[in-house]
Amino acid sequence: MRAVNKRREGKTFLKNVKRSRWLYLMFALPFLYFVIFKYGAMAWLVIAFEDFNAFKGVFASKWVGLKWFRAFIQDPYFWNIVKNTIVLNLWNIVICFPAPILLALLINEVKNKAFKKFTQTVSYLPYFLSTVVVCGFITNIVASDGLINQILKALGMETVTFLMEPEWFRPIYVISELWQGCGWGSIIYLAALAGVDQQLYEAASIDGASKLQQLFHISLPGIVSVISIQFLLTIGRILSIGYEKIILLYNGATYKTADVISTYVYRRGLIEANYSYGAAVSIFQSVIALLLVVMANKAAKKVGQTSLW
Amino acid sequence: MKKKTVALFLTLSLMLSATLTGCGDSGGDESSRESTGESSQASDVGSDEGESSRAGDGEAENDREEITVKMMVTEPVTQEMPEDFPLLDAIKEKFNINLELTIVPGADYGTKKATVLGTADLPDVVCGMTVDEVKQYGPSGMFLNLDEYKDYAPDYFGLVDGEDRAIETNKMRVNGNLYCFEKLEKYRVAIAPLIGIRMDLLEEQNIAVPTTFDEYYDALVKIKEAHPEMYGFSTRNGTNYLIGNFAYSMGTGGFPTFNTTRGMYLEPNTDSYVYGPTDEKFIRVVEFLRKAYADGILHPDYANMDKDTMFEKLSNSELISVYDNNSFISRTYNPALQQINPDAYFDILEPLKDQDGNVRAYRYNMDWTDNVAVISSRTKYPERIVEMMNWLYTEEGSLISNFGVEGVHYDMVDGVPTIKQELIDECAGADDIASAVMGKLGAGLLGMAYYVDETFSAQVSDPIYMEQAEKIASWTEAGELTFLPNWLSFTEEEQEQVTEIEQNLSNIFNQEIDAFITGKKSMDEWAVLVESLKGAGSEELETIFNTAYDRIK
Amino acid sequence: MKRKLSTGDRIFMIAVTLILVLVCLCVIYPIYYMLIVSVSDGYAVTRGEVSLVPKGINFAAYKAILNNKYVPNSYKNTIIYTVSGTLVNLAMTGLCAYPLSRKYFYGRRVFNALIVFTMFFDAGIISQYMVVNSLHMRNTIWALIIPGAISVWYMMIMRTFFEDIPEELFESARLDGANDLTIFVRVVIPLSKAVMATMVLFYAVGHWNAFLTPLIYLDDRNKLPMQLILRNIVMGADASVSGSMSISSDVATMSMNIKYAAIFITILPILVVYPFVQKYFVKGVMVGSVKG
Repeated sequence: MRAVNKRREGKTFLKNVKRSRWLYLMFALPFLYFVIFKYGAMAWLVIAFEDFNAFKGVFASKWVGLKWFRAFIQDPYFWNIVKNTIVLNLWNIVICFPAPILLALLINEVKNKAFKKFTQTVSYLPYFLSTVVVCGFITNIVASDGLINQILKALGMETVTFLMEPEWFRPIYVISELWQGCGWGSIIYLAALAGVDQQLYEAASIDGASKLQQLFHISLPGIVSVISIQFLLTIGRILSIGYEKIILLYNGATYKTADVISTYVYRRGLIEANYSYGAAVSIFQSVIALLLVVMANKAAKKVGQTSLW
Repeated sequence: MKKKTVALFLTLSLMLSATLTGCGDSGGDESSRESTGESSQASDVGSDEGESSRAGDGEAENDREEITVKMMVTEPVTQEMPEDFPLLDAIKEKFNINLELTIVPGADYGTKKATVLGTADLPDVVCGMTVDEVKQYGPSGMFLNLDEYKDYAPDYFGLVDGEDRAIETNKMRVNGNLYCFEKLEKYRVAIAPLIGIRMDLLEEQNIAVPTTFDEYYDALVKIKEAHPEMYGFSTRNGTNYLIGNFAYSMGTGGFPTFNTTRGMYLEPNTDSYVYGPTDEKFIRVVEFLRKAYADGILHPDYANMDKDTMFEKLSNSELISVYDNNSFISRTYNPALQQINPDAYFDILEPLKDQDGNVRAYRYNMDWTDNVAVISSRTKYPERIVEMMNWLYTEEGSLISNFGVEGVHYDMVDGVPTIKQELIDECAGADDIASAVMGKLGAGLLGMAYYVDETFSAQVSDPIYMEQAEKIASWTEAGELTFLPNWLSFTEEEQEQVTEIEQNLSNIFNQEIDAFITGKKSMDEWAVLVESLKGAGSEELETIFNTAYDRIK
Repeated sequence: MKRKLSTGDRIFMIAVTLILVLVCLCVIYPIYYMLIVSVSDGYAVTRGEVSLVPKGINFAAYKAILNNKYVPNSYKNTIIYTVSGTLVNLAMTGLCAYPLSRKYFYGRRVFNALIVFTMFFDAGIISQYMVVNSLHMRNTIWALIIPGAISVWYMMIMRTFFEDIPEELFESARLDGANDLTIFVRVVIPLSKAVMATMVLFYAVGHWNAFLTPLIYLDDRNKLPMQLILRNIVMGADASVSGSMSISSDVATMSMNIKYAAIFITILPILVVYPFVQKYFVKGVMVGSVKG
């Protein structure tokens, strides 16, 4: 199968190059951009193998090989923080990834224009709040005298000090992510839904398909390529979580579930500014994420979905 | 519609390609000149500007050549930083130096510094550095070693190597080298973290003002009995901040003030460094907090309470007391409280006696270790910049940098510099008179003063605040309050170990401590925690600290 | 033409409406809360008394922000950076996404892979600073709009949208003798209004909220965008509680108000612009009309 492809590619090589000349012209600027700003900057990552001294610069700093990688991987907390990062991201993928799709599908069903616009506008507002503000809300809501505990009390249940319990950290974090990002995330799917052929719906409803059936058989397939590409890109972030929100929500008592790679590196950064260590950790994250994405991409291709390359 | 889009897009791509080609041949400096009219800042700062301005400006009164020095400063969030102020003129006149300021908003100054330091792309002078940053980046060699320019800075070295400051200055030296000009206090309005308590509630319950921790606790319990909805105290910065406040006063230590990741402290009785959590008296602190949590004295949300929430609870009578900066009392809790209950008020307590009858507590470091200036080791004019900085510590430089020009901005009244009334009137209606006036002059602690005299602030400050400052000063005199010692500095090898051990220790400690305070773990297990801390190198850390300390004593 | 809904469909629509109302409620209260706090009396806020209706209505927080002398100029800067930045983003992302979406573009897979690769090995801000510095872009507007010209994530999305355009449309254009550039401009862009609108929104919001790049690349205070100035004001209100000596208690207690007022000053323009973007999300803009 692959050999056949190769041969065919070979034959059409010249034809394709010729046919692509306008494309090359268009692609020239973006290509230059990636070479200069992405690959040019990437050279800096060699500091992960150095004892980087900003004053001496990247080229004159002492080479230390894998020292920082070893320091990170041999850290007694290594497995815990890697596990926490992945688990938290899996929660994110299971809950926060499908939510915007669902929201977009629902909004898409609304016929009343005013209500539709209102929902759309309102649902994306939380995206603009800073992390500090959002975390302020969360701590208030789950406080000992906060909304949730008052409800528990009213129901005659024990109150919970949510932010001190390791098992509550992930739900709290994920719900807050959901709250903040769901509406904003749905925009892209709404745009995709706008591209679905309207005749399909009409034909389906003439055939007697219910709204729900239309949703599953027309709307969803219509945006599946966007979903697929978003999913692949999300997989690429499986080892990265921003530290800002977590440091505002965690404490020693919840390290067991809340401490992730970025927060761990952040705490170390408070004691010393070690760029080499940071670069080593980020390379580690990248390599793992890249492997995962390559695998996911293969799988996507197999099932005939849009792939990254 | 279609045509418009096409036209728009074509224009865009044309524009874009034009700009990109402009930037592409970046070897020439044309692109930067045409785009902003300002020359780009090459890493080699100062030199070109020096030449060009020399050519343009012939009549220098000074016999020395005119130079331009680039200085990065922060505009503090509470005080304006003008582009032009009396001090700059004075420096021009006296040293023939054009100070060119890059003014960075204070809220994000840390990030800006990190970029400049991380790329070693420094202007000649960077102000507003912290001593921690100096220690982190000093070993790279990017800062000028002031010890080598001692002769150009007699006034500064006279102060920092003087008897009262020598040891603290040595703690700022990195591998024995002093890299920074620290803001020093000439006259300072004292401020300290202290216990503030609802005096009206003490009176209401006929409780005498507490003098020991036991009395303090009993008072909280008694008030809580009468007001069950209230809690005794909380914290706005997490568990370690809470511990740090109480531990030292209770005869042990660790996590002093804002060093919430650092369990080490200097024990004055033995004049040596001790890792607090493994100290035997540390159990007192844990038991105190544990009891407080169980009795509903310590607020249940203490571990995650932020500043806004804590202030809310202090201002609406949900908290009876607080261990925090005295300045909050007159500024926030009291006015907010008194709007609904005119009789309610907080006041500070004299530092309390511990179980052994000893009294001790920290006030913040002497001088301002979080506000120092460094000079780039790549500057072209090290001597002249050091001289200029040194001048800020002389009587003349200090007066101009704190009060402006005599006769114009201030007058000497009985030997005390007094800001002119016109200037104060100009700022009437400002939220904060002192910083409004200082902001006009680029003066004072938040401006360009390095030998800081807060006389003017004191004159316009809230009387309650000044009363407290006097109390703090007198308690310092009596030895009840001591300045928080500066953090030690280490050799590179030591520092690497310290980082490793501190990180491990704080991971272990942070994970366990709340379980003891909230009663999830029994105190019998405390010994296990202490053992695991020792296993993670707490004793080794103490040795490293004390070796480093002995070097500079 | 309206058809009667079946029972199942009616239940479905009711469920949809209910869920969306619930979503709106979850979102709107915190926003409403911030709005009333931003116009309430500082002390009442500090005491936690504001929860359903504003107390002691005043606009001091907004005044404090708008009276800052740097705000007008920085607002202007932000608009300039946002508009020019977004234009560059759109052009560059389109120029990148279109070739990559064409199956016959030779080298497509390699280019795609190389570009995705950069997403993982992002060397961070310090290295980018070095590049920008060596290109002498510092302290110019270029530093804000060129280094971030293409977001790989958004480019991939745009590429996917382009790939979804039916092949027949390209073929017919090609038969008319159009080259790829003409096809891109005449066929692809008009058919991609929805994704273009989305990209405008995403990129523009990115520029609007940006503070890190302007902070590290700009040295001249008069060039700073609004976000940096606002952050300083918000922090100032926060710090004044502890910071300086003689601050009046009015400001000292306004920290929450100013924090929230700053948010509204930031969001407002986006709220105003959004309906224009929304317009492009109406259904059936593409295939139906062309195919018919």
